[in-house]
Amino acid sequence: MADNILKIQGLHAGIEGEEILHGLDLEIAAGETHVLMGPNGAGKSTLGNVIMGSPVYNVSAGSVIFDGEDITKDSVDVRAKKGLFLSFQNPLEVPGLSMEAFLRNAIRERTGKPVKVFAFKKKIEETCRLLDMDPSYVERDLNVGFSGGEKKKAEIFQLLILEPKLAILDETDSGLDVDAVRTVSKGVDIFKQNGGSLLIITHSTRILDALKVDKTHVLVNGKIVKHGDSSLVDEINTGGFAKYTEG
Amino acid sequence: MSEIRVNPLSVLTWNKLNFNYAKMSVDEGLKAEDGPRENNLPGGVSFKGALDEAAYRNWLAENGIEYVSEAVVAGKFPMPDEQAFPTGMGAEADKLFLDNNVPAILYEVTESIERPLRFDYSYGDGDKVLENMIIHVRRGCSFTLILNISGETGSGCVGHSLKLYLEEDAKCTLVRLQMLPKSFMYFEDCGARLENRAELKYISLQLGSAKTYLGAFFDQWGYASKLWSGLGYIGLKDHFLDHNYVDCFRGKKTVGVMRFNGVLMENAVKVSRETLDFRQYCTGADGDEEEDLLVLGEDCVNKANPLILGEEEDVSGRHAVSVGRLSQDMLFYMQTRGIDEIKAQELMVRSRVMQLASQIPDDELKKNVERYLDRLYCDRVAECTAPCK
Amino acid sequence: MAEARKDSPIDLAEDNRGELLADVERGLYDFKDEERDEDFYKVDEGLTEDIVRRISEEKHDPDWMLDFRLKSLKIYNELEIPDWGPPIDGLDMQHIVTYVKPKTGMKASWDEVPEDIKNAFEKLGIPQAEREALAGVGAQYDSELVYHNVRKDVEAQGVVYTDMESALTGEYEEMVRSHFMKLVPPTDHKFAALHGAVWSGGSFVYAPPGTKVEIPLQSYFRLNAPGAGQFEHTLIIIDEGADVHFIEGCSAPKYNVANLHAGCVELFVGKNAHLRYSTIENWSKNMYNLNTKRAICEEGGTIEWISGSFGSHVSYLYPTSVLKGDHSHGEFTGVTFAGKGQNLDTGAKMIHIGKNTSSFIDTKSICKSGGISTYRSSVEIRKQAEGSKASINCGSLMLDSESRSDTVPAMDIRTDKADVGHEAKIGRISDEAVFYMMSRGVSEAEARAMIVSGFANPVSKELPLEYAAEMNNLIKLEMEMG
Repeated sequence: MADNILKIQGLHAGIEGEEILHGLDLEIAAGETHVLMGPNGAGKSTLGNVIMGSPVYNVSAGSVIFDGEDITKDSVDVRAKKGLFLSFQNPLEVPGLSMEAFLRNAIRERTGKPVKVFAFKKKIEETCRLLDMDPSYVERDLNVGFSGGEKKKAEIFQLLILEPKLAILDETDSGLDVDAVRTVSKGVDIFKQNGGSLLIITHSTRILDALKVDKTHVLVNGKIVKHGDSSLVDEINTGGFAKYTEG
Repeated sequence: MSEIRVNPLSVLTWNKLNFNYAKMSVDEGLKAEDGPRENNLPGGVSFKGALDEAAYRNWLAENGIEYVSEAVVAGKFPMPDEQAFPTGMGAEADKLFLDNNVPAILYEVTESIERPLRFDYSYGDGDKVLENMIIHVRRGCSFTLILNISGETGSGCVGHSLKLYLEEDAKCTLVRLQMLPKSFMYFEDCGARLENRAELKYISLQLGSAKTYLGAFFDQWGYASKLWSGLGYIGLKDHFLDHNYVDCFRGKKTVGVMRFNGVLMENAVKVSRETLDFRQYCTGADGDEEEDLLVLGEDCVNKANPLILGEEEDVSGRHAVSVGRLSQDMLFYMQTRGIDEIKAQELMVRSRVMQLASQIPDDELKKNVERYLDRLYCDRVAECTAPCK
Repeated sequence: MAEARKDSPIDLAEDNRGELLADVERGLYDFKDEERDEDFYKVDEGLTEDIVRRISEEKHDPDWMLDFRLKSLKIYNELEIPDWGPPIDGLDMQHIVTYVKPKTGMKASWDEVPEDIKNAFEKLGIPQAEREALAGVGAQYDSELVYHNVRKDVEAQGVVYTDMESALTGEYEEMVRSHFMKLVPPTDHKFAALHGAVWSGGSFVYAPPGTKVEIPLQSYFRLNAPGAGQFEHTLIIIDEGADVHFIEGCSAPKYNVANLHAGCVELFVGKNAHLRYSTIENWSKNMYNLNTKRAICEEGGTIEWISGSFGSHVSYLYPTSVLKGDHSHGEFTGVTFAGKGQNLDTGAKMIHIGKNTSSFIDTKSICKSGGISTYRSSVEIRKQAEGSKASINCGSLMLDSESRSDTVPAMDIRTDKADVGHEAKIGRISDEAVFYMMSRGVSEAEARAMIVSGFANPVSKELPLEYAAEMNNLIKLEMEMG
């Protein structure tokens, strides 16, 4: 295994006609938890989407190395199969497709082998127990009629079932209820314990309270302006971003 | 072969668009479905006879059902097909049954029946069969009927006509599952009349014949009557599907929901007419219609004409269509979980069909639909190594 | 109803453009000048080859145009009237005077326009509108252009804005000949054929490559004689990269004899060119308005239709955008208000041929006091039009249950590489919205009028101020009537 699970070098990316990320560098060592903070419009969500390979954005320069492999040109599903995961603020709804069937298919796609029914069921039950979720969740149609909190829980549930190497959690939406925050924290904790690496994108810190953060990065205007340790989170909590946005 | 005009559009539009009706070719020498009608009926459902034209008229008269010259504001012409008991396919479909001397089999439901009743129709090569039924659900009774239409191999022509009369407070779930071989021509017609507070759930799944005509006319006369209708279909190579669904709101506070979940592949052709028709005095009526069509073939033809007709001010009507390939957002979401585009398409096809199939109150038939989808994807995905191949 | 709620009363209150126009009395739109017979020249009532020849002769047509008229007449006699729309049996072609021509001829300046005609225009507000720095006024009185004035700066740019007769016999004859009724051939339908046979008057615009006309070109059409039909032809050619806004306004006084309007508008939008074509129609309530409007866009071209239909007894009006070039774009924004005795069948057609073309339809229909309004459209996406997008949005507002409102939107999509979205809604003015506004001291009638104006806002906000104001006043007047 490479030392770094993720290495981003000189990344320039944006949407048609507008560059959002202007030469960004970022390294995450395997097993570490990183936090990306920054004011609104800094390009935080763009970074998450670009790492995952969203076709909405185009990369004009730079590279994304994942687990020692250059994935800059890989399609989204190939990246996912290699062990990347991106949580969605608004995961899409698929009526008629249960979450269980969806995940079964996702695992089969990744492993190329049929899913062992019994073991899969057991894992689902166990994960439900760990996250304190009602097992009926997984029988419901994927994200259909889920409340905001339920959707968030379902994304964390998928994270634990799919077991990626690096999870990018886009938590820029701070409107989470206490219950959902608890589930996310718990799920993230389990994921970490199992050796998963994390990039948490946020502008609030509620979710980070119970979490050991290894490194913190501050993103302003498409560039990382400050790297630091977990103390940087506290500093921003008190001082905000003003220090980094001026000038 | 003779040709008739079916599926008339409720209001005419430009002739050039070929929407105003469909031309349907039917075989000569069509025969009435035979076999015993009285057997195996549960208590509460009775066979009341095979009605010829005169007997049918008597039945209409007994129940006070008569042709009402349509309440049309001056200026709308021509009139919809004149039928005392309107159906989606229209008057010429009715006439086809008369011309072939196919009587209407009348069933009456006089008690609420918990267990779904299932009629199995299995067709073979060369079958040219018409089935004509009237289901009369008496006041306050609830009833579920599943029409399971299938066949193994061969070609043929099958047409089913169904008239549903739901008296006050009656509740009915009607499922039509068609899994005929590809070389069958199939048509199904439906007329439903809902009296006060009657409720109808109508599900039609079309997973087989390559030439399909579907009509449904839901006539909501009764106060606060409710309709939920779902049509699901998969159009494969060389498939043609033409349908005409009308929800006619006449009673006050009537509610109607129509859902159309379709998939078109390769060069499949689909023509759809979907009408919410709010008649005068249907105050408080609420109609909601949605078409969700996944188009996966380069040579597909998708024609749609979703009408909203309003004669009453105090109504709420909504129609929405979304048509296209798998959306980019959806694809991205699926891909982030490691599902590639081909698989994502398959999942979307399955989900569209299963949304409706999961509502069939019959586990065996649900399995049949799943098996159909499995087979479909085994045949379509070359690298598939599943044992069924 | 959702639509009414969406346009919240607060938004309406803030949009005070309607207040900028002085109160208009209904009478303004109903005036009728006494027509002095000796000033006018009328042809026999029926339509024969003789009449067509006389029209042609009177207009000093080139020979090819006479041929064109005679061929069109033949087609007219062969075609049937449409069987799908509102009835037009009240129309009797044999008794319609097809051609009325004021004897005044062309006028160079406002001062020379005869007093009675001038009065009529004055009531319609044209001179004021011109003072508001409009580019040019081609006002058609009955069938002939009587007043025409193109501002110097527009002319200096090389933009040609003239009447059709001058264009036909002047240096633009070839251009007219190669475009005239090529987009709307006389074979299209019976009234297109009729138009081809008896057309008269109208505007011709040619914008050379790269020209940008900052101020809208404007033309008023009026119909002012009993039993007279009007068949004006508008031909606009926007060359590569040019940008023009053309405004067509129609208003006609009331008469009892059936009137027919079968005009024709042909718009050619060149590569990367942009044309906005705005119309407010307020024909008299006995008018049969069977108008044909069509635009074709080359690569990267844009056509925008803004359309307000208020008048006429019966209307058939479906501006068509042929999106021929790749990346061309068509937009249609329309409001139709059908009041007592009106059957207005309006909508749009979009034909996607080029790749990555896009179209957008947004319409609002309002009906009241027994009026019938039908939204009718067709969106066609051809097989080769890969990457195309179409969006159709239509809302209907019914103000009572004597009226009728229908939505008939056909779609024909022949490629999988297209995104099509369609949404339609029907409903009424929400009682909550009225209550809310009344709680702030607004009368019920006023509240309802404001809500309807808000509903029509997508159109009025696209119009120049004075037209938006006129439209809001028309809505107010319609709301007050019956």
